[in-house]
Amino acid sequence: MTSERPVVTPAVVLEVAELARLHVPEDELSRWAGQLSRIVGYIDQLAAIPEQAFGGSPAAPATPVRPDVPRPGDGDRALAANAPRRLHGYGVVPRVVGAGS
Amino acid sequence: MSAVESPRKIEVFPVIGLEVHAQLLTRSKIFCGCPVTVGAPPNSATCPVCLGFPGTLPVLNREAVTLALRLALAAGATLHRESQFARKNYFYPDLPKGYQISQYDRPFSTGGSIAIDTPEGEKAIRLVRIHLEEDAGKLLHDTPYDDVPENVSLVDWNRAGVPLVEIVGEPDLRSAEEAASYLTELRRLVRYTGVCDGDMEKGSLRCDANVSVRTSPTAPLGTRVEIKNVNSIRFVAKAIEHEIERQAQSLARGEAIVQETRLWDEKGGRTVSMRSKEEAHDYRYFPEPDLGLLVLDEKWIAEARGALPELPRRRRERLATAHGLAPQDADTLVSARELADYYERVVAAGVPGRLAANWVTGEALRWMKERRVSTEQALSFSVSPERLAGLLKLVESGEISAASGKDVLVAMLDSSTEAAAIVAEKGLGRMRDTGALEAAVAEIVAGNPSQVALFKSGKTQTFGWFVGQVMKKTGGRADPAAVREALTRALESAGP
Ligand SMILES: [Zn+2]
Repeated sequence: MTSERPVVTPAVVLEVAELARLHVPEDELSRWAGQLSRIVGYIDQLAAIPEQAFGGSPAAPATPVRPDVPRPGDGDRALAANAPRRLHGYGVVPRVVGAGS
Repeated sequence: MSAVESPRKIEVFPVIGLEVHAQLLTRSKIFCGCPVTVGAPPNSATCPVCLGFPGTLPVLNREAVTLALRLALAAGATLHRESQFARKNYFYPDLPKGYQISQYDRPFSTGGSIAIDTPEGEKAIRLVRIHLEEDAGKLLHDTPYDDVPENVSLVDWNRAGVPLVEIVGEPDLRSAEEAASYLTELRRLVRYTGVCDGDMEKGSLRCDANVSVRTSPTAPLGTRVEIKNVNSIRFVAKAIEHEIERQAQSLARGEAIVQETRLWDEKGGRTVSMRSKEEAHDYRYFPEPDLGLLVLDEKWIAEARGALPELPRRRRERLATAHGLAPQDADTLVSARELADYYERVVAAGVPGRLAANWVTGEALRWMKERRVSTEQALSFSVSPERLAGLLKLVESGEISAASGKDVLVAMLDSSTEAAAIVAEKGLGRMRDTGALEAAVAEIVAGNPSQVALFKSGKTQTFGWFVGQVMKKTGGRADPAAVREALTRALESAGP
């Protein structure tokens, strides 16, 4: 498993930041690009190690399942303690129109 | 293959693929124990897991998988022993975690098909895949409250984490009608299998349509436009129809089709642009690290298969063949599993299949509609299949006429009385009193000397007129054979 070492360019940083709804000032772009390139490069280095070196991959674990039994989750209280703003039991967010996914 | 003529005379050939989301009929959510509710107070059915609080972990609901398996088996899909959940990342207030747990490159089911009827015969619409995922919450933009400012939206996360299957169809549909047939069949299938209630208005079945057009049936696929937000089969057909026309006109004007998402605006009867490809999301899917692989074993698959009922199209075929039913009647009967069950119970109670079909698809269905009993509620219709059978046996034996039968059915609607008792009480049964029949015949013969004269002069077709008069006189209750016999005797002995 080897791949070409990806280079994170300032353009890539901008795109990722936009997807994450983050603001990255123009003058910080190159610093971010450099740091992210090093991180991605490190991951690539790990990927280059042959799988046998880890002693073979263990059997993939099956995700546990639970029975279909409803129980109260107390989300109201969790929201009351954490949500910045609520009205009539609803969460309140800046007005958005459109569709999510 | 249908072509649509646009006003500018460009012939286009539509290509349509549907993506359908179906809410699974579980009691609790897919990754937490919160109840799946309808109309509960906002956010009352939530917990730290479905609200995406840090440090919480999802645990898969076994029943959600079983239901999804059942649907995949019903569609003849290929099940994968190992599948994986993935995170679909996007920011929206109805998605508390900032990602939706879905399946991406390793869904539990691929392939399969949904058969539809077309004028050219049966056509199989292939499925790309069926996968499991969680629903998002609901945003409320126009609220009924006076104290909610204009510049906010309200969020109810009760729906967040409700289990869904997404059924992705191949672009095998060639017209809006085919798309509507596909949705009708799919809805019938999810209802038959008990996987989903199929209610599009309430949003438990939702449909997005991908529509493109091309100028020849063999040309490469055109640029596709996705239509969202359509909440009935009729509207899906209308939205697609409109979109095909819009694209045809664009091509006629020499414009390129823009890849975009459009919303169906029912009031305006048109689709409106929502976002173009440039603004499209990059979901950055990656394997869900908080869940292991979904591993299916034989036992689990067998369990899902064991719960499969006879599927609607097979049942339609069986009923039509076994009872010699017209295709349209058989189709109506299987439109809901409960209606077909109702019909089969009428037949099981001893009524000939065709007579039962006529009455169930006719009078019984008419009264169910009148009384707002949906076909899914057929078995709780006030006239049980066994009581209807009691009535139909009286019709079949000739004890009462079909017309009287309809009146008796009306009387049965609001009572638990058996048909025979109503017939006896109202005196609707066949006239057994030969004296009364003789008297009615004598009266008709005596009261119509000119008709008698005509008959005597050789106009034998007048005999039918006499039969009709006697039947009328006896309220249709006389036995036609007995009437003929009595009339023949009476006319022979009549003067001159
Ligand atoms: Zn929950």
